[in-house]
Amino acid sequence: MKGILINYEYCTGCHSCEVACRNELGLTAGEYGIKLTEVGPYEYTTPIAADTPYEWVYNPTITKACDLCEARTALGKMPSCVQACQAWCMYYGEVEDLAKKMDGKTRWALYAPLSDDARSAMVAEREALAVEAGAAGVKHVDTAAKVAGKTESYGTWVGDMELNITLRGVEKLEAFLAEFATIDLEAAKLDLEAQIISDEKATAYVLAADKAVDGAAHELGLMAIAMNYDAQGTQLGGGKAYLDKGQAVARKDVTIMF
Amino acid sequence: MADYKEWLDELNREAYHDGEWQWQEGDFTVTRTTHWSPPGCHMGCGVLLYTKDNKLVKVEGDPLNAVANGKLCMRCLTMPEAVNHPDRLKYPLRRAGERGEDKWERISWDEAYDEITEKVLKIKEEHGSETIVVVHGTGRNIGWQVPYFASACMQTPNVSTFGFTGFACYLPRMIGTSAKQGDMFIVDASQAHWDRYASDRWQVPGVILVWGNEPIKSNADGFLGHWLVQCVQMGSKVISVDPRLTWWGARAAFWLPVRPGTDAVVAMAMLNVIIGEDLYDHEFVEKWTYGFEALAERVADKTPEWAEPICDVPADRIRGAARLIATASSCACQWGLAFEQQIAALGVTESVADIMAITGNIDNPGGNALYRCAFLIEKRYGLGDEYISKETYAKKLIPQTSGINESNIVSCADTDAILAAIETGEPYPIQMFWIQSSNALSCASMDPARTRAALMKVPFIVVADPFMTPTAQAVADIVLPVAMSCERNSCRTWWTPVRTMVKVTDFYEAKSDEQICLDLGKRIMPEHWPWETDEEWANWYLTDQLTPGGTEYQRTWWDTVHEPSSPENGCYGTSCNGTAYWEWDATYDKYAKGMLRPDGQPGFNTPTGRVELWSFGFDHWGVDPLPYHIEPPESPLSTPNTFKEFPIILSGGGRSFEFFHSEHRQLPTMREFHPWPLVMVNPADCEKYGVKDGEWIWVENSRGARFKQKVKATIEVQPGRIHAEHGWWFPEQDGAEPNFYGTYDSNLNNMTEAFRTGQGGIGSAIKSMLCKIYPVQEGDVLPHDVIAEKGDFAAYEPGKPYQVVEEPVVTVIN
Repeated sequence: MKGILINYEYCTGCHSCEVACRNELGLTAGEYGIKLTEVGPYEYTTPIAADTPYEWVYNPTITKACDLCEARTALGKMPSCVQACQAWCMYYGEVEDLAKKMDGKTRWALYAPLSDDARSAMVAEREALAVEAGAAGVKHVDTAAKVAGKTESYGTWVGDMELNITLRGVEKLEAFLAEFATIDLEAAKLDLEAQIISDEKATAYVLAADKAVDGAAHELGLMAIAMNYDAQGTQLGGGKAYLDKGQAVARKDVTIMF
Repeated sequence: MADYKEWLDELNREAYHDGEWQWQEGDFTVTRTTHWSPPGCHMGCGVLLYTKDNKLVKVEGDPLNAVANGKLCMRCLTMPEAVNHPDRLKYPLRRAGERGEDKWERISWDEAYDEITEKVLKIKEEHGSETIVVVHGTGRNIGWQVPYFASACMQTPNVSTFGFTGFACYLPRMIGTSAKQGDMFIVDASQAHWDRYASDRWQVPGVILVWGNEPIKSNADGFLGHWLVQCVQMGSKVISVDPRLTWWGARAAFWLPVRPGTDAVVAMAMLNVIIGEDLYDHEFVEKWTYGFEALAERVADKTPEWAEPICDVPADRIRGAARLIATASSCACQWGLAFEQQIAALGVTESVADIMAITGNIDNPGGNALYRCAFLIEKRYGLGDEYISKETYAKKLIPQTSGINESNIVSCADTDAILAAIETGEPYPIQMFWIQSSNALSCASMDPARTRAALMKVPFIVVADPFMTPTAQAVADIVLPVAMSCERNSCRTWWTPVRTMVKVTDFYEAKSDEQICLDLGKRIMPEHWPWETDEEWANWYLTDQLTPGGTEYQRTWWDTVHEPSSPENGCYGTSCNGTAYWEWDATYDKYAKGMLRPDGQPGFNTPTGRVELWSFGFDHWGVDPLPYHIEPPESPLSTPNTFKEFPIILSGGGRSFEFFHSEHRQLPTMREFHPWPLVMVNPADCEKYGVKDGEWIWVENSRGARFKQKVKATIEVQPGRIHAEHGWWFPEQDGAEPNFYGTYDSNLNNMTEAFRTGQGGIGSAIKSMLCKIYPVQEGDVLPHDVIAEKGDFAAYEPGKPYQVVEEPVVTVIN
């Protein structure tokens, strides 16, 4: 079993592991594959047996996103964090071999993230639960699938802007179109995209009269959530307002629930 | 990494394409190169650039490059954010309104160059080329390009930083050690050896003396602080002399929390102990130093007990640290900016250099190595100044009373003399500023409002930068877009190894610093610019650079990029493509081997041939040739009345991982990790002064100058002392006057001043200012509004310092 050994006595809190990992995994702001924790600085007033009375140490913690840089190590490279660690206090290898370096002279931490087998089993289990929930028509509330029903996700482009759409409850849209529409699902999706882009706060999909069997407009209620990002992947609006400079939206992720 | 050999053995060199400079990995082209500003820093780490379709997508460190062995800071790891940033300048711009209106029109490079050329020629003819001032920032990437441009294109002797009173950055230590020893000393962390910590010539330092800097964050001047973390892992002990508790102090055998600006007192007391207890290296002192008796006499009464009430360090800690320095197997002194950023700059430089000398820690393994730039490829301030006529050169702006400037050891002009010339018109008014790699208003300039007011009197200003900075907004008439490191062909030495940079992408019309200098040089003074391309100019720099007989390097820039280095191509050891090591720097005891003096005799390159503990050079400059201390102009000792109302000592400018000086403020990841400027306040002081962790506070001095930063409650600072950050501006804010991206509002330089320096015009008291603190409240007037209305926080006379609020009662101690 492979792991990561950190001689955290020497960690300088430089953030390189955090950032190198994000680069490798493609994580976004606020997400980490490894994250620093800091203890101190504080001064012991209680007598302890130590070199100095000051406690100030960092210990990087590995998160569930870490896959031990499988793709890199397969090529003979170091995991990203180990390669970038400026304090040169991280090691990668077999857990039994790494444990031998822990000599009691300084502080060490040995991390064993999920093994491949465990990870595959976990993902398979969740997928199985989600399928079960859908097929039985019963809402099992679990972390994998909060909404029962048919979900479609796809990406497209609107000019220079990447648009990612997730539709939940597609069967409702299909039923609505079967009853009222002359256009098919693909055409309706294009129609829906245009409407959501022009009004992110829309609360219904409007089937125009000239696309309806009976020549009258019809509406299907929906809830839409849109998130906008600039070219750097920075979210626009919301809690990052100080980063908003009127950048163009480079990517829009929209989730629509019928 | 306690075992470098083991690391090397386990390194899979093939996985990192050993021997290649460029290759494909899936969709990416990967290029092995070095990074240097912009975006900023001094280090020159080896990087692997991942590009696709002319775009930089990812950066990793290069494990095969022995400078950093693939370890890389968070700034380089997120370099694509800077390189691809939507705010980057894409085209040359001309001001389309008044200065400060943020109105710009796009122009072509030809238009920009035509206008600049026309104006420069006219100014040279009507006013003289000395009326052109060339401004650079810290010498990180432009160490040779911009000085050559100033000499061989603008023909001006007036090259300088601007607003940076007292040359308060590295230069004092450089000239101080040049005078006393003939050469600079640098901590030996094996960095001159091609095989680094595995070199059998090298030994790990017995003790590392970290004084006046936090090298892990600052990595100043080609020295990577984390090299010392390796040394600690390999057994080095630590002594930390720093008002702040840092990673070093928390682990140190001795932490000396010196009162800011009193380091010379600590050093003199250490000398007292080392000499008084007979712990000094007798052999080295007798054979290789001059003036020991005079030094011993100077420090005879400077006991640790004498020192304690002045510097606030317990006597037994000074004594313990001194004994450890003298008795360790070796002592390496990692010294830093605090040495210059005090009035006693030359005094403290002398004293600490003397400690290293009398303990025999000069040019020994694991001590302080004497370095010159690899293959004598100097970084060369003053490069090309022979192209300026003697008549014009004599008009260089230097202060009247500076013996140092007259001896021309400093090739730069003096910023205060330039400021006086602008403010008074004497000896001549300035007609033009060329500003390349400097954001003076946010960073280097003391009293930035005064600097801006002065620049407004200069008729023509060009700024070259990758981003629109507050300085460009406030004063530029033309702005030129500068390329980033992955977009330039260049090379550099800083000590060793030689390093090359190779261009792999383009960004709109941005041009590299060297391309801009070359383009204008060829238009204005073609006889001094015989190169067609940046590559040809790089070749000249590597092999010629107007050195008689050329440098000791014989390869071209392209060959260095393309091929690994080895003894076969004249280099020391083997090193990866783009680096070349030099054996001279990796040799110890050069003084004994006759390697330092031009005549080849044993000894140092000084007037006496020895390390001068009593310095002829200093004496010639009119500076005390023995260690001395000067109290900061405002301090508990020198201005006790001011201290009653302003009871806190402010130091500032400590670095952080996220930023290099005033750069990186527009980058999302850097602001995610470090969103606001932080002022460190001890928890006891938070209570005493009614401020809270996370709250914005004002920091204000005796002339009413103030700035605001966010409190970080921490024991990193002692009670009675705070520490604020420098270089802050807010690119997300309005860039037009009066706000200028908020560059005045959190700027601790509001409290600094021009025209007040240490002996010889060297040193500036900016890390030890008295202040008071109180919470920011709704409706408080911001600094930029004060400056817009009154010009500055207090009135000043042209060419003169501020009136002192209180005459100092204690000044020189020697």
